[in-house]
Order: sequence, then structure tokens, then C-alpha cells
Amino acid sequence: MDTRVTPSTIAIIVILLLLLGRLFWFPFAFFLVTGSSMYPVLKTGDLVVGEAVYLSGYSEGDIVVWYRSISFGVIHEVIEKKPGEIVTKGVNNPLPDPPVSASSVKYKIILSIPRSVWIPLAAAVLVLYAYKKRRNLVKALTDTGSEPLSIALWVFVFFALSNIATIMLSGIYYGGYRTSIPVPGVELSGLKHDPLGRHVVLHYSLNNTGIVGVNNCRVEAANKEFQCSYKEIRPNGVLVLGIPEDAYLLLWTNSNGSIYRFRLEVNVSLDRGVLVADYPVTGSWNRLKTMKEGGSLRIFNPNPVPIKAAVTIIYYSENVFGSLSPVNSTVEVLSLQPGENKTVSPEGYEAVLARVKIEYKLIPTHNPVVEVYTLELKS
Amino acid sequence: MNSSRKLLLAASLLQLAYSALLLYALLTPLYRLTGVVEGEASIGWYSLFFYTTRIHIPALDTLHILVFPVYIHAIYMLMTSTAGIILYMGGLEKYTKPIEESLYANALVATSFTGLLVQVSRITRREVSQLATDYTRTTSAGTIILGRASLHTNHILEKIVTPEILLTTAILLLATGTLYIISTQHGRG
Repeated sequence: MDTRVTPSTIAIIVILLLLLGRLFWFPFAFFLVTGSSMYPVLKTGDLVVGEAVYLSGYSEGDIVVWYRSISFGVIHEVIEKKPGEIVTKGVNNPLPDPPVSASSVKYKIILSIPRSVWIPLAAAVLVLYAYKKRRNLVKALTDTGSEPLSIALWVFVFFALSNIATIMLSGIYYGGYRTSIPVPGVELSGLKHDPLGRHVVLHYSLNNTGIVGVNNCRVEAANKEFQCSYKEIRPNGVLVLGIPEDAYLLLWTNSNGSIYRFRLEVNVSLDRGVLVADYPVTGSWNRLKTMKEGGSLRIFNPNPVPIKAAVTIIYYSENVFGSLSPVNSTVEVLSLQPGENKTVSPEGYEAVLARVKIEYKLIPTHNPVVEVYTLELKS
Repeated sequence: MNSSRKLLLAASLLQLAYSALLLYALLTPLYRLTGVVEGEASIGWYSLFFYTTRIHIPALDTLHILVFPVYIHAIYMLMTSTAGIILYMGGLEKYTKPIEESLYANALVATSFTGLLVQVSRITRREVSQLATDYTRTTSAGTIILGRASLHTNHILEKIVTPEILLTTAILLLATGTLYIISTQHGRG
């Protein structure tokens, strides 16, 4: 039996030792990447060479191999190094790994060989080796005088070793990392009700998806349903939905307080799936806003419904005794549309002063609101 | 010698069938997902998509490296069993010994891989069936309805990769190989 140590024997022993590096913490070891947590830096099937950390240490930004046990190891990037522990993260993972003890870090990755390089290379070396030894192979296959079961033994050993090699190489276990599915994320980041514009603006935070269309939009007000008056999709996940005037009118006629509520039901098409939502929206009935402008009074309706206001103007002039006495009065009904401004300008009757009384029903079932303003007139 | 030749044929045919079955099990999709998750998964590979985005299953990525020697072994078994049949038909006595020993070794290796294959099929089922679920989510924005993913199983293949059938086949292979070796040793002695 030939017992000479050939270069190929030495090469096989070295490769085997490198494969067993994770068991014995040799200065260098081979690892096979599995999983996609390090994609695109490392891909499944890439062969990486690790240098033991007891040789040169490691720092933040290095890709290391750490082990919790022989069957649970991870190849990830160091993102934080603290005394006694480190935090690693797969570059393709959304979150870092839980901290691990610094002593569990065994290797620093110093070289990665893409699978598209090392697999054809290894195959070529094997084919070349077989070609070089072809005479010996033929002789072994045709030698009827060889030891019984010697070929069977070699075949069995070959598969046993290849099985061990794959276990050693792919022993980097990713079982702790669940399958991550890129499920779309939609969160409501804002809801703004603009009663005067008669619309609701919805702001969404979108992740992995986009708004394609609004299938349905309904307003439920005072137990009655209305279709939205318009639907507009704006960039960056913004939806503008029109609230019909009839809905506000119904709310107003049924209102028994200064706060009103309605529900907005939407069905939004996303490029991945559908969003079904039901948002409560509130608003308040506000008094008419008035502003004196010289001898005039400007009245503004801040409500989404028209308000009718009875405006009574009493004109005063100076009598012979120098005191003020009413000389005339007028009554006018102003219909103020939502967001409309109207100006009351008392004039004439040689009046120096006018008292303006505004009377309107803010809430139909409540007593009317009465407001009185005094205006000095230019004589 | 005649009984030895018949056993060579029996072992070769059995291993040819077994290797074809093994390759079929490794290459044919065992599970198919439809719905929001579309694609197929076998015990040797998978290709699954959530809408258009490819899904990576870390556990299966690791397993598919572990079954790599099984692929090589299935191909080797296919080659040696075919060679065994050719030898039987052509009477090429010169090459009988390496083939008969390879058939014996194949039987041993096949037995040792049985546990791995059964475990791989179990883990594949576990991982893939987790994807067959309702993808409805509730967030601050409302309910996001993505739809369901349904799992369809290749029932023929599922029956093949049960432990009982795999183990029975492997034991049968081992028995044939052992009988064959015993008979040839007696024949040569």
C-alpha cells in the first residue's frame, strides 16, 4: 500500500480542516452562506473565509460569525460594539439582532467567493484531477483482485464526507429568523376636516404599497348614507374626500348641540390589496363672525350650511337737546352661504349712530342667537 | 453465478426505480401556493412570490444546501444502476465488481439519507403551510385586505416522502445489496 503524502492529500486535509473550523476554532475556516439576511453583500451559496477573532479582532462594520451553540450561528455585520457584548444586523433585515456576548464571536469574514466562481472552479479541479488519475481509476474499477468491499467503502465514505461537509458549511442556522413577507403597511398619519371646504383630508403613511383608486366613499350622517361628493388622490398618500352639503344640512337640522358627528366609510384600492376603513369625524357649529369696519359691519358664516340672519338696524340722530333718539329702523334677512361674507352698511336718515341686531338660529332646536353692535356713522 | 446475475439485475432495477423516485421527489413541486402568495416548493427548491416580490425562507435556504449530497447520490445511483442493467444485458464481467459494490454502497447511503429526506419534507411543509393564511391586517388606517393564500399538495408525492415508504424502500435496497454481496462472496470463494 502506497503511504506517501502527496500534495493532493495535503490539500484535501487542509480543506477538511477548514470545513471543521467551526468545531475547533482553527485560525481560518470556511462557511457557506445560507439565507438572504445579508443580501446583496452575501448571497446563498457564497463561500466565505473567516479569520479567527483571536488573531486580529474585529470592529464595527466588520462581518462576523457568532455562535450561540454549534448548531446556531449567524453571519452578520457588527453595528455596535459594547464592553462584553455586541449587536449585529443582517444588511437585508429590518431590525438588528438581539445583543450577543462578545465571547460568542468566533470569526471575522475576510474573503467571500461568489457561488458563480467557486462552484465551477471546484468542479473544474475535480474533473482535472479525475482526468489526471484516469489510468488509476480504470485500474481500480477493473481490478478484480482488490480487497472485497473496498469500492463500496470509498463510495460510502465519499457520501458520508459530502454530507458532513454540507452540514459543517451550512451549519450557520437561520432558524431564529422568520420568513419575512413584504406585507404592505398603511397607517393613518392624519385626518383633517375642513367644514368650509366640505371635505376631509386623509394622510396615510404607506410602506410597500401605493393608493390606486377609491372604490367607495360614503358618509353616514344622522342615520342616513350619502355618497362622497368627490374623491381626489394626491401624491404621498393623501386622499381628499368631499362631504356633500346635504349631509351637513341633515346634521344641522338634527343637531341638538354645538358638536356634530358623522362617519366616513372608505374602500381604497391599493396596488397590493384593499383598505377598508371607517373614520369618525367631528365638527362644531360656530357663531357668525362679525367685524366692524368703520361704519360697516362684516358678517361671515364659518359653517358648512347656509345661515339666515335677521338684521335689524335702528338709526339714531341727535335731537335738539343733544341726546340721541331713534329716527328709523330697517329689517333685512341675510342668507349667508358657507364661507360667505356680507357687509351691513347703515346709511341715511342723518343718523350719527346705528344699532345693528343680528338674530339667527345656530342650532335649529335651540333659542336664537342675538348679537347687538353699535356703529358710529359719518354724518 | 446465475443467481448472482439475477440479483445484480434486481438490485439495479430497484435502485434505478428508487433513484428516479428520489429525483422526482427532489425536483417536482410538492406544494403549490395560490392567491396572494404564488409559487411552488419541492423538497429540493422553492420559488414563491408575494405579489411580485420573491419570498426568502431562511430555513428552506439552509435545507436545500443540506440536500445537495442527496442530489449527487441520486444521480450516482441512477448511473450505477443503469450500468448494472447494461452489464447484465451485455455480460461485461470485467466491470461487474465496482458496480456491484457501488450498488451495495448506494443502499447504505440511501438508508442514511432517509431520515434527512423525511425531516426536510416535514420542515418544508411547516414553512410553506405558514404562508397559507389570510393576509388581512388591522392598522390605524383600517383593515387592509390582501386576500388569502391557499396550499395545494401533490398527494402522490406526499405519499412517497412519508417515513414508512422511504424507510421500507431503503431497507429493501439494503437487503438486496446485502444478499447480492453475500452471493458474490460465496460465488468467488
